[in-house]
Amino acid sequence: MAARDNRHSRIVAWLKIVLPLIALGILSTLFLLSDRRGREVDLPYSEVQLDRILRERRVQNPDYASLTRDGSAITVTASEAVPDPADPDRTDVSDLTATLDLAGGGRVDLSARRGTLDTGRSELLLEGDIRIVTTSGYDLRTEALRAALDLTRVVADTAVTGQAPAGTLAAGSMELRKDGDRNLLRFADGVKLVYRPDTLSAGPDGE
Amino acid sequence: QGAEVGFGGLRQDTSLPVEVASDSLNVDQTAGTAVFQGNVLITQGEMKLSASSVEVFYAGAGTQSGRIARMVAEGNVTLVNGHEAAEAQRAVYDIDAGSVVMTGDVILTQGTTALSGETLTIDLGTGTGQMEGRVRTIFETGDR
Repeated sequence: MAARDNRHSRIVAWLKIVLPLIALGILSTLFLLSDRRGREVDLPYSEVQLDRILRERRVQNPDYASLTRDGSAITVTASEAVPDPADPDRTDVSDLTATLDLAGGGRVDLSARRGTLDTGRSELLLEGDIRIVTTSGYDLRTEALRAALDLTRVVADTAVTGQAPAGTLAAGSMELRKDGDRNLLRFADGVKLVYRPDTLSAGPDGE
Repeated sequence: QGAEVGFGGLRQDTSLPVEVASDSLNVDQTAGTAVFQGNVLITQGEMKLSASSVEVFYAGAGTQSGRIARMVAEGNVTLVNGHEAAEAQRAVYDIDAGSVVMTGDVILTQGTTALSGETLTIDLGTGTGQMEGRVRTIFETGDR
């Protein structure tokens, strides 16, 4: 009887060692081999970007919105904005688009490679590959443009060329402003429009 | 009574591009009107129409159609087509129909003779004109 009891207690003693080890092994597979993905949240800014932002106070994808006194809404978005160290009111922006929702209907979309947002003088200056698209059918390009932020007024002092509702248009300057409840677009300093009746669908009588 | 006048005798292709040049162009986006102002010169083929202001009227609703129905020129309007010239206070130029209707003490000069009347209707397509209203012919007697 003793031998059998002896073997039994040896087996039990042996099991007391092996079983916990196996349990430990199973537990470790749970943590060690588990899938790491999605564990830590990736920071929106890398360390490098954080330093750059602090050093140059450069902001990505900024946007700016304001309402003019005469009821038009202006929103400006850009790829990057860098405050002008010399003048806190001025912010240089790049690849900007500005949308002017005119009171009384109509919309003007401006885009440019570079610009300066001057909240001191309530003005947005645009430079380089400027495009002006209006819902009234104008799609124009110019090289320099000023858009007021507190009033509905967009002025191009340089030549403006592009498409008008009726054809191709070229003018020495352009100004969009509000007069009462009417949105006026004035081209000056020499204007030339070329209207091609044959290119339009001339309708039944067209040859 | 009216007088049939040959007008340049040129057959004008009314689908030629129309060029409008002026000092300025004022567009009222709300009302959808467009007015050329200051030394306005409209050119199509051989025809030149100059005036102090020209308003553009679009066919269809607003400016979206992009198709010009007619242009109304006002203020010392002169039309030159070939070697004829006509002056008036006002002219309505219908591009598709190729017609120009000039009103307001119209004077049509052809070489040495001049014709005056109230309304001159010119068909650019056939190069003919119709003068109406107190038509008088003025001969240039003296040597110019």
